[in-house]
Amino acid sequence: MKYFVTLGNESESIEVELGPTRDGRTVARIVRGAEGPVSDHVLELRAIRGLDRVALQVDGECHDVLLAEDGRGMHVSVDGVRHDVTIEDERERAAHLAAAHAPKGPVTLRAAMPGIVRAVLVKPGDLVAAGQPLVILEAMKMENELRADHAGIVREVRAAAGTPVDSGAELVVIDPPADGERPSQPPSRS
Amino acid sequence: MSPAGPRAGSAARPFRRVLVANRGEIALRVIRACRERGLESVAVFSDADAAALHVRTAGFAQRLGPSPPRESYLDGAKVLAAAKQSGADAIHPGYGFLSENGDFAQAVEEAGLVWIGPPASAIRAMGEKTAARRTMKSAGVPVVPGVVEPIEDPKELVRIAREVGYPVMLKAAGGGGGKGIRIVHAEAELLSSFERARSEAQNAFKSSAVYLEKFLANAHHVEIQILADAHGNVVHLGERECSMQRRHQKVIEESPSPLMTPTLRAAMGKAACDAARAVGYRNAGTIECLVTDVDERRGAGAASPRPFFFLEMNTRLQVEHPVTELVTGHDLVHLQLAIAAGEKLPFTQEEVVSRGHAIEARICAEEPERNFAPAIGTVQSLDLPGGPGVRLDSALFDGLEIGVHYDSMLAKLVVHAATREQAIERLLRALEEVRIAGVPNNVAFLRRLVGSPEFRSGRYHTKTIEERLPTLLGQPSRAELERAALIAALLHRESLRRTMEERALHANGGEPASAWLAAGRRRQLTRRRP
Repeated sequence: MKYFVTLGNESESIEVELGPTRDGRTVARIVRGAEGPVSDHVLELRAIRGLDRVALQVDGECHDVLLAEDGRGMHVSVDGVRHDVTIEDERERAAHLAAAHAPKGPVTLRAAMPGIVRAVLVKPGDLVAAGQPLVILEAMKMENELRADHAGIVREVRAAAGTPVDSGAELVVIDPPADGERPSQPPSRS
Repeated sequence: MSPAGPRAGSAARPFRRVLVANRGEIALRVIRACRERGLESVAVFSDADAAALHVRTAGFAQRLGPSPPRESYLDGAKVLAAAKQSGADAIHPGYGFLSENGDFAQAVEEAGLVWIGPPASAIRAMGEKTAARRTMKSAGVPVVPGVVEPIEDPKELVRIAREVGYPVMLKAAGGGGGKGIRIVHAEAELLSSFERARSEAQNAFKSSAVYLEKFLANAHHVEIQILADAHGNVVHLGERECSMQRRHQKVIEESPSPLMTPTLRAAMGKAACDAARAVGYRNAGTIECLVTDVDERRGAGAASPRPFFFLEMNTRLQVEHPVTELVTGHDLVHLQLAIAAGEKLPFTQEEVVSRGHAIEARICAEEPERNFAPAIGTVQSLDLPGGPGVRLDSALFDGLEIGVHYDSMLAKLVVHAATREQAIERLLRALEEVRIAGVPNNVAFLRRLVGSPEFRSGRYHTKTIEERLPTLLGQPSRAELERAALIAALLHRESLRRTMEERALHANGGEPASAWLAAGRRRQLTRRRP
């Protein structure tokens, strides 16, 4: 069976072919593109309790592996180094590629980090420019200005001053601007 | 100014039951010291901490209120009520929360309890940062160039900033801890930074007063630990180097400081003791200084010591106090308890000896790759380092939920060895043993930081992390990624297989139980384009 593994912020997935498991040993192959070189490896898995904590030998070398899920999704930690992981098998990948046309529509400003909303600087109906501060979020002992990625019209404000929010919480929903008011480009900040 | 000596503040006297007005690792640290001294301990907790380790370790426990600090750990009236309810006769504040609140210290003493900390008058004298700068100036302690009064008027601010010369720092007069601090490099940023600093100061300290001082580039942050008893004895326990910082938050601390010389240590130690005496200090405290990185003129005879400037005094126990404990062999919390009970310091300045080298790394729930955003989660697997010369102060346990309400620090990993080089290798080894799953953290970042040429050479300053960030964030190698992919694929298949087996066994259908699948689908739905 083939698996496509995406790690952290990597844009490309890594293709892994797993052979059958016999006596706790699994032969696995890394495939690097259609013509790229392949490499074969032997994996030996020993579970300590469930699969959230395993001892795993790759080509004889010992690795201490933890498996967990948190606010960022699933991750494996190999010898204490954490990797966010998304896995698709062949079937899921095909389905995913077919659905990869995102519609044009409202954009939601989300909290990039957990914190406490200190101020909401816009209200529904406001016209906002790209780069304009929308919400002040207190986190890391600092006040952080969360800015609009694109110009648009505020459709909805879901944040309230003084309330704690988790990472990813929806704060402000912005509709794309009507054609007459095509946005200026974002200011040249990087 | 209150007189120095035994009559400063209220009388120190013995006590038997200590309420620890804090949470997390420092509450546990104090509770442990109480146990070792045969004292009873009372934990307090918010709803989020009802089953926390400090609660389970203490002899008694009292609920304070809901999870937000203002409704629990920062509410002095609730803490006092808990003390009354539990029959405590002393309060240890730990660090943060109410520890540097002069009004609370006074209320504790007026309630007839022993305050395990400095007199309220000393907290106030040092707590208002501009007043502290005035006091230090008159005590002959050098201060960073700048103003000694808060600034209200933006026009005056512009004028003073020009006079002092950019870059300048805006700081909250009402308190420290890295809140309400802004570095301003040019006049264009001055007024907006002023507004932000005032707003942060208002939120953190209920006072928007902000003052200005010169920003000293490439400066080292070096602090001196002092102890003062109720009998007029003041000693210092040497320095901690705290220059490895990010956004004014300390990341790594060590002692001795790589730049320290015996002459400079003696001069800074004397200034620190003078500062403590000037405010009638009692108990443990820390004088924070900046040491500038001027070229040392190695003229004929002794090198001239580097100049140092008083920054602020922390009138409490510091997060990084274990560093001093490991090199001096003195237990600072034991000494705090002894001093508050009226005992004399059991050693003199001449008897203070620093042996070997100690380094502390702060393990935090944050994601360095995402601009150090604080992280939340539930600790799902936990293995903590041990072995010779390793100390780990934490209140972590398997199942602990890390939420948004409190500080992101998970643990302090502190090592001690004969030399700095050995301490660095020991810290790296110990960091490699840390396993925390379920909560994103900075351990991998700390490994790269401790192993960096800047840290190894000891030639680092308060901006080193920012300057070297791209290197410190690091990227896993291709081989590492492929290995992780192999492992993830195998675990994915194995977890599916086990789920199928389990379902066959129970034969009651239900949801497909692979958390991998569910998490993967969620991620695909929420993935944003770069």
